[in-house]
Amino acid sequence: MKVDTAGVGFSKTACYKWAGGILITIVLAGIPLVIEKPFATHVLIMILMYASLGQSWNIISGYAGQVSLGHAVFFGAGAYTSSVLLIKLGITPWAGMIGGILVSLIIAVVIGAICFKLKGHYFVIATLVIAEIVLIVVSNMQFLGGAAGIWIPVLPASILNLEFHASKVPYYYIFLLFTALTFALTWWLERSRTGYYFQAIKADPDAAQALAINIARYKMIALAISSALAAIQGTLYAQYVLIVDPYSVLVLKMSLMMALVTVLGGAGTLWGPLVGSAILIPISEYSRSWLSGGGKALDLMIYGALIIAFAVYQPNGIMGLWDRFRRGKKPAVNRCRSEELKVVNGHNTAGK
Amino acid sequence: MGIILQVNNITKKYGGLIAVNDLSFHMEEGEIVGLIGPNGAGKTTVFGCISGFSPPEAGSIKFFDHDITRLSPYRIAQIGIARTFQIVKPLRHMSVLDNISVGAMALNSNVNLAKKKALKLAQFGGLINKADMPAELLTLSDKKRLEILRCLAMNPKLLLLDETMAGLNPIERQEALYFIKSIKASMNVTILMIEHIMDIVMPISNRVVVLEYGTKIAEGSPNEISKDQTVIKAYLGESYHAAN
Amino acid sequence: MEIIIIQSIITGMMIGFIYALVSVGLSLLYGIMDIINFAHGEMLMVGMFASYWLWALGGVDPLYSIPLVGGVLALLGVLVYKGIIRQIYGSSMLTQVFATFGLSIFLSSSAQFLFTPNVRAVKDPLIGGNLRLGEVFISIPELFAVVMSAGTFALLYWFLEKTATGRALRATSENRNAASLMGINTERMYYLGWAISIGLVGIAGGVLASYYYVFPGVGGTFALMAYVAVALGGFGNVMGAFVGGIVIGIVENVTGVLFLPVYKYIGIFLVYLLVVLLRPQGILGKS
Repeated sequence: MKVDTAGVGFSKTACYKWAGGILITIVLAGIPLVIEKPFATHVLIMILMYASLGQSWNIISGYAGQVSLGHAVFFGAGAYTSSVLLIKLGITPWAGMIGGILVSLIIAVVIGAICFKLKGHYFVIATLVIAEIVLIVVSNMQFLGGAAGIWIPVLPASILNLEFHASKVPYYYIFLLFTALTFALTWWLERSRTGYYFQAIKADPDAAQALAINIARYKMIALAISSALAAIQGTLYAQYVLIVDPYSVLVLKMSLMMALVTVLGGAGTLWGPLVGSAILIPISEYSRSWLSGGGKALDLMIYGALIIAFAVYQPNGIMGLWDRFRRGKKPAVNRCRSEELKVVNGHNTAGK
Repeated sequence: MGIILQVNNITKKYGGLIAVNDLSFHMEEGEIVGLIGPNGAGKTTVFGCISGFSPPEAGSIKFFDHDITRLSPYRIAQIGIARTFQIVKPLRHMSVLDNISVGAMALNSNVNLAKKKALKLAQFGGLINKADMPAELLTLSDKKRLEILRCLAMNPKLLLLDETMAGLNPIERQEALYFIKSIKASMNVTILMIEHIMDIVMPISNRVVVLEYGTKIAEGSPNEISKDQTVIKAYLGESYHAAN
Repeated sequence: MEIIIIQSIITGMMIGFIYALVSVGLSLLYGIMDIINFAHGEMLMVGMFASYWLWALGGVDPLYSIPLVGGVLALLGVLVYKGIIRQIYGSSMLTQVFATFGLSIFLSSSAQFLFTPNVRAVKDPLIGGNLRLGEVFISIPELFAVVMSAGTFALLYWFLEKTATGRALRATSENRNAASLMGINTERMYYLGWAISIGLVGIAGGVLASYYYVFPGVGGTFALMAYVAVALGGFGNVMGAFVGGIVIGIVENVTGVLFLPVYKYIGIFLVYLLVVLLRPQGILGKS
């Protein structure tokens, strides 16, 4: 994790970072105005959604090190809750989103209570198993539409209804907004004590405890934040495709996708999920549209091979590669430290 | 000086094996106490009991006036007992500075203040030039130094050092010894040190407690202990004793 | 009603022997290397397809190809260890999980890509038909599976108990460091462990090919059953995994018959959670 320990906001590196950020924002905001094909917009929306979902997984599994393979349950919880609230009670999806977050948090507490006692592989398998249970239960509940799922009623296009029919572009901006918020939250988390505690838990739970960290509590916090972020995407997704079915939102493949984009991009890094998503999602979407039938498997084949390759050669993902490239240029001894210390110790040295 | 730690008749078993047997000792504020004994004597287990990682089956442990016997490890760290680990446990992928900062965050939720404190500690501990290095790349000696700095960042009242000297070469040992002395000189902290090698712990301890097979066999000043027949026998065996 | 239950117990027990064979490999590998092979189910699928294609293209009845498939998969195990596992051994949990999970995804999707998701079955295998014992039907291929499984396991058990290499393997499983200090070449043990583990799965696959449906996703369910069986028996406990597999088979079948088939998986997964939470060393493990 690269933290700007130089601290001074107007150094050269900081200027580059700000400029880069503004540039990215302009590009992202302007893309849909330039690209007019609906399919391309769809791909962009999917990139954003999986970037957010990946980031949500990143918080519990990348930063806090609790590898979950059942994260789809939170996505599904958000999707189903807001949809059911809309259909049965006519509640706007925005309020439904809050409902989805609440349901997701409850599930997170239950899963945490069960699984956090488990270590290592036991934990991973438990998350898998719980996700499978949820899938089976939901696909057999008539109240939730069973295996076929629920159709969201087509309502007049408006922001309040979170439905747009003439074009996908408004969806793009909404997804963009929430992705930006998700990333901003993660950025803030990285720099907060909570974020450091997550990393300590990942690095060495015993050492973390010896450092006065209540690991049970912080694991739960990580899972809670994670689940809420995934639930939000669930609601947005439901309103985008207008159908919520268990074999799309609750399946293992969904859990895997959330994890894969992050693992490939770099787990435990801020930009990893976006990088991974920007690479994997276009492969997935375009291979599906070009090759019918076998297409669905081709993208997975590529993912599988990529994941193995990265696990063996570059476990820190693409961001890890980038990091190695950057670090190759830095001097071995950190000269700025003594300057910082002078400030810290109260000497005011003239000059830079 | 007040009594900072009171270990009362603790017993710790692993399956059928008794690792610590009815052990009692106390520590006064400001002391350096050495906990020594041959391999397998149960020294690290005692640390586990005090620090909450492996609570004893019987007996009690008091820190000032608090009964800490059943507290979880993080609570014990919170109230002022910091420990190092026999097999060093750096937060591997995090930088040296971040490692120490996490310790400082126990007292302060402000990350910037924690980092400032960490910087000072890094300088104090001689690791300032490696502040941004990932902890896993440090030498063993530096990793052990880092672990102590991490503890110090929590402003502990009681510092448990588990075999700080193990695996270090003689030069590194002297540096570590000097470092511990400088800690004592600049901070108000009580230290309980586990050591396997007598020569290390004698020069700096005020008192020494000797364990063998989980039982206390001697306690006293370093001078007394180095002449104690039971201790010599425990370390060097019957034949040496007989020969003298 | 009793007959139905007895029938389901017997049928469950028979598939259980296959679960058992699959689980033993998984457990052995975990014991030696502390790694869960998330691609274990897909390896079974590879074995089944190998057997199927030998029949479909080569006219070889699955019965005869069992040793060959077992050998090929043992080789596959060695290759997987050499190419992938050796590099990630000791890495973070995330890396380890995703290395084998990636392999699992790659294998199942490759099979889907090459062979299509269609379900296939061997027609008129040498071993077929049913036996009738009173009111109860016993499928002969499944009975054969039981015999193969039990026989293979007996062989494995003898190997582990009575031969020097086998004992070295067990020593590595119990305490890697001590074993290496005693002069055991742990690297060689890892190779051996992977060869045996995947070889067992290959035999299971070859046996299943006679009577089970062959399709790219077939490994998934078997893998999940295996995780639960291994947990029941205690991770690393080979005998436990074997017994666990049989128990899971029975539980699966009986709950499927007594309740809705849908719920049988839920029951089994709940068993997993209960076991790892309440008795992590497994029912047969020591405290």
